[in-house]
Amino acid sequence: MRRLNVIALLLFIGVLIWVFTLPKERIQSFQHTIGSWFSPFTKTGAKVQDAIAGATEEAKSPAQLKTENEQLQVIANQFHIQQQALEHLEQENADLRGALEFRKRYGLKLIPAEIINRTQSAWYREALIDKGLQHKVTEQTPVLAAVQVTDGGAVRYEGALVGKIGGVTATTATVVFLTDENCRVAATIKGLSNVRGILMGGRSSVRDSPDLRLRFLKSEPVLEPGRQVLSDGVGEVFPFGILLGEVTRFEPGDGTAEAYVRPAVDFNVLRHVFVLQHEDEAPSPVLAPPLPKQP
Amino acid sequence: MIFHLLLFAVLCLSMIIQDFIPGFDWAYHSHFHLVAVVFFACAVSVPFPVMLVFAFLTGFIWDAKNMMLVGDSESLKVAAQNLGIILPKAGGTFGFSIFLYGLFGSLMQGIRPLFRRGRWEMALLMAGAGTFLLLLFEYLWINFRRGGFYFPAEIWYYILTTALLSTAVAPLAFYLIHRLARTCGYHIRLEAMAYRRWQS
Repeated sequence: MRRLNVIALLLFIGVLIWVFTLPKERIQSFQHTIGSWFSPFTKTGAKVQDAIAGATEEAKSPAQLKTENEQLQVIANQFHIQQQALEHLEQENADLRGALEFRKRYGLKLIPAEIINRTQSAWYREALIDKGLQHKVTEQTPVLAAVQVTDGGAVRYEGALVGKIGGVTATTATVVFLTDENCRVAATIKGLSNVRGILMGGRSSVRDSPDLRLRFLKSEPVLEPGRQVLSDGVGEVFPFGILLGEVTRFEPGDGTAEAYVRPAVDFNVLRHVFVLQHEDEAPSPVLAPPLPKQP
Repeated sequence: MIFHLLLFAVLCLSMIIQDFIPGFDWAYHSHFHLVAVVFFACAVSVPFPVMLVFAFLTGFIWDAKNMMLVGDSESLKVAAQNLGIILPKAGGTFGFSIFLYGLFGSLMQGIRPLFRRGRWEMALLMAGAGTFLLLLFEYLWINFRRGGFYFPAEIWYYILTTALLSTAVAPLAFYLIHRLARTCGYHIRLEAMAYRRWQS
């Protein structure tokens, strides 16, 4: 091996060790800087990806097009189209009202944001939102969404946890979804305050929407399907009582049991979210007093 | 020197273009891993020390752009403490991509003499294999850090399809670099080392 190559290799190893030992704050500063350089391209790229995805969806076979055309001829009259448009507006209005109601009810400072891209990485379930440092979005803050809940026949809007902020640039932020293994939340069961565990998602993003697992539970009591899973609120980062999902299956183990949980949020259609503002900027995000420690 | 600077510009450009490339939903979000392919094409075209510089810059920017550093919040640590459990680590390792690019770039250097004789085929295949190994090692490291090896069929499908798609675009990257070298007057291929197949 040539002398120059040996020196280069030694230098490379030295720099690699330096990178591995960088403090977290320094790395985050590098990430902010480099992320901000690429941010305009990432945003534009997200729009292009959306457009390409739309174009792909439209590429249908002639047989499909023929069928669709026949169907369209039957229903294509002006009145129907107008009616559909009105229905769409009505739905959008209801959604926005719900979001507003949810925002007012919690009395928290929430930053509304829109998901602009959701498939950036194969290993992480995450999405890019259109708010960043400029809008006072900071790392580790919870991200919520308003979901429709039917309670005794009445429909109301409930705040459900989407995930947390994983990375942030000046104008964008990355939300790590609750369905990612990286976003682990201390959770409890509605009506069973002494049952606690850690809720975690899947390892990669190749599957569309996996069930969450509520792990490290005690074997008793057995949790029946349909029970609501809420955030525990320990440590005052994730507010207490935020809806996470509902139990679909319970599996008792040797020492600890685990429950499979269907997320309250449909991550495939999620578009509008709310970022809880950082403690310095808003009142404490605790919605209810935290539960006493488990004996 | 100008050629090396231009190659770095091409690498940066590939990172920008990567943001514009959507994943294929029918193939578990597999995509063209343009950055890896361009890096491997560069790695075989430049001397070893320059390759290491490229590996560092590519890995550093890649991790800065994509690495999810955020780990568990203090709240979760408190909750885990209350439950009496120790949670495996979350988040990634910043700099791991530098190591991987350095490692697989060195492998590419192994076939450089062949490449300089004008044989492209092996370099193309190696670019695909390198992409496969790069993704596999990334996933293995995630598994190692988080505890427990979890390898569903979809993961293999994703890694393999991404590697195949990347191999398909590799000729374009090699051709681009070849043209760039000619424009700059840089000699990737040494004519004296070329096989004289048609000579008696």
